[in-house]
Amino acid sequence: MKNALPAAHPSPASVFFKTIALSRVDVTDTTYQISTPTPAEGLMASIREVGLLSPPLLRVAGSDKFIIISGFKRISACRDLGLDAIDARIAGEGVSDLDCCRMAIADNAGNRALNAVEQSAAVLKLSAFFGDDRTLSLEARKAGLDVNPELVKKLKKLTTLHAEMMAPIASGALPLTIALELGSLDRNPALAFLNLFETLKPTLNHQKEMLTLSREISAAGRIPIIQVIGGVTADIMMDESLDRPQKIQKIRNNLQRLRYPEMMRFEKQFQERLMRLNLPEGIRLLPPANFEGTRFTLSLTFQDISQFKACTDILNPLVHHPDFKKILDKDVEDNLFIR
Amino acid sequence: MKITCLYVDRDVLDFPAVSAICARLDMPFQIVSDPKEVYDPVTRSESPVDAGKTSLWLTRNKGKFVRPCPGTDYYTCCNYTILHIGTFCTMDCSYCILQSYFHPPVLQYFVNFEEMDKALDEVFASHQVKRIGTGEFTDSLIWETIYPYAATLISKFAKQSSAILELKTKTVNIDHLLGLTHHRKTILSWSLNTEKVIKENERKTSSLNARLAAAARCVAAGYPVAFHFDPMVIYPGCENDYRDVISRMFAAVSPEHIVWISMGTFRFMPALKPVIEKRFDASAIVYGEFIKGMDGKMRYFKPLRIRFYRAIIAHIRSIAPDVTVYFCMEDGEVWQQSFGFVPEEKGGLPAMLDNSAVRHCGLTD
Repeated sequence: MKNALPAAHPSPASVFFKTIALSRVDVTDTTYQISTPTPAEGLMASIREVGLLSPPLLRVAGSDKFIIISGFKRISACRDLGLDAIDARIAGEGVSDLDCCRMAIADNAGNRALNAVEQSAAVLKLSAFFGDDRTLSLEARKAGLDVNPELVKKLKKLTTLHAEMMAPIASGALPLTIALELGSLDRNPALAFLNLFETLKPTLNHQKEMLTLSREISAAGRIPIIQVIGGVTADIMMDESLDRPQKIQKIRNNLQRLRYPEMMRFEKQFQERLMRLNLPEGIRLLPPANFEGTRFTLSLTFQDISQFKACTDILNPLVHHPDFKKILDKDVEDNLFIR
Repeated sequence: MKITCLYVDRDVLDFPAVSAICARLDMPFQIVSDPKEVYDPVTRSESPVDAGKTSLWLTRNKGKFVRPCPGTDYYTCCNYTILHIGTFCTMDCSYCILQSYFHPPVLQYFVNFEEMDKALDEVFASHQVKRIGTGEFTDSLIWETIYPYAATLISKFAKQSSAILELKTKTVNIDHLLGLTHHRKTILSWSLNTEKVIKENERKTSSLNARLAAAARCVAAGYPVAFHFDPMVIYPGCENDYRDVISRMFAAVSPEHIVWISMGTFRFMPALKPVIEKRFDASAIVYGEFIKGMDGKMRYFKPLRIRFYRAIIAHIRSIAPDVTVYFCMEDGEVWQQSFGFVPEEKGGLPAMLDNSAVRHCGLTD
């Protein structure tokens, strides 16, 4: 047949519709569960008004029982509504474990975007059948879950994370990359960061920066990381005069000062010297990036000859200004204390 | 580090060095026709760097044996010449750029010595002063215990007078070199560092005392020597630690035998950082105050480098006012602020080092 779809796999004959008593569904068996718990009120209201439009997919388990392949939330809603029986799609005994797993993923992924915890659950279920990340990625894609091998690798690691992280990951409040970083920490520091991020809601880049700086301060000074982040944030978090962005900025600044003490001190001294030059708004003196190169940049903003002359009147005496010389020399003697 | 995989290129099977090395290692080897046969297992392994350090590939140098050192434009380079005898190293230093320089890193030892010989003859025929070293892409003496080829090189350099050979090492594999006729055309040189840096970052290397004792024995055998403080690591207490190493160095070898001392603070391509973090979790070497330099490498904040160099140079000068000291890859500002002059005032860095080689090694051409 020219326009026929390829035969479904498993064959349609092995999946059939049936009305079954809800009491025969074993809701404790989560073999194929992918979805994370979400409030069911909306779904219950919908079923109450228009009925169960999409029958759950169940699998025969023994002579008198069914387990859920897909539709955990629907079954739960129907039970809470006090229904006795529902229409369901039943995968017969001939359907393999792998096919049930694929159907669970396809049914979930086909209806909505899965969150990271659900993607992780899907990948883990498939990993019982396929070894390497590349094959897992291909098989997941066949079931409608678009995950590349790199993401597969990350998703597999999610299961090793502290339990408290799952809800914020699922809700999207905790980005996957940050979650995995936190997962490499002990439980207490991981939860301290989680609490900090949930409270202040810094951007992803700021979260990464705080974590990296804290980790490096800890490694460099052989100080427990919880001591680093605790020491930096304690007073700031208690300070009611600061709003959320101010707290984030202050924490970042303090971490920078701990991580790069000499650089921060040098930068501060540069700014102080610059202030003492008393340059007007139209004159800007810029040091080389990171003070590494040798060329300073001076920019003048003016609109006529008299303004230009005013600028040069200010610039000429700079030659004799001690702070100007120290700036150009990147004077180090009185700034640094490394011994 | 023990070699666990030995590969031999099919087209070098009958080279004399191959049979000698295979006999010395006394282990089964795999004949390879395609580099993938060597690279693939290393790449696929859980830690390619570790796998590479135990995989020795006897092969042919298909490129140039003699090549200029790959310096960068912004920082002052010494125009060194590399004699490319092999790649990677059996020792294991956290800061080693070779961990991320080769893809994947594998121990290659080039056995087409006849071609190396010809390349050196061409260099000697030019009668130009050259400083040539084998320690850029590998350690100069790691293979001496299985194939002592340094002796051949030393003898070859002894027969000419325009170039010096520098053998740069962290080993003490020098016993068999002491009785050779060298005519001071070979400089034995050691990388030195503080006890703390060696302990935390240089696995399977000789101790500082052993290196200094080996240098002293080479001096006693008439060899000129050199020392390289590279990478120097800035950490609390580092200045005192480096002063201590310098004092011990001069106690072992008096300044008049030292052709040059190089200094360079730790710098690294950003890609090396995760490698070090993963492989050397006890090392804090990557957590210094680094910025991205003009060559894309991470370097200590310049004012920190200058402050540090000043202290170290002052100590060297207090013991050895005339010894040649130079920076590897620093700019004029660092030279000026640390040494009080820039190389151009003395004809340029290459000329400074050439002159020192002429003085110490009796180069005449």
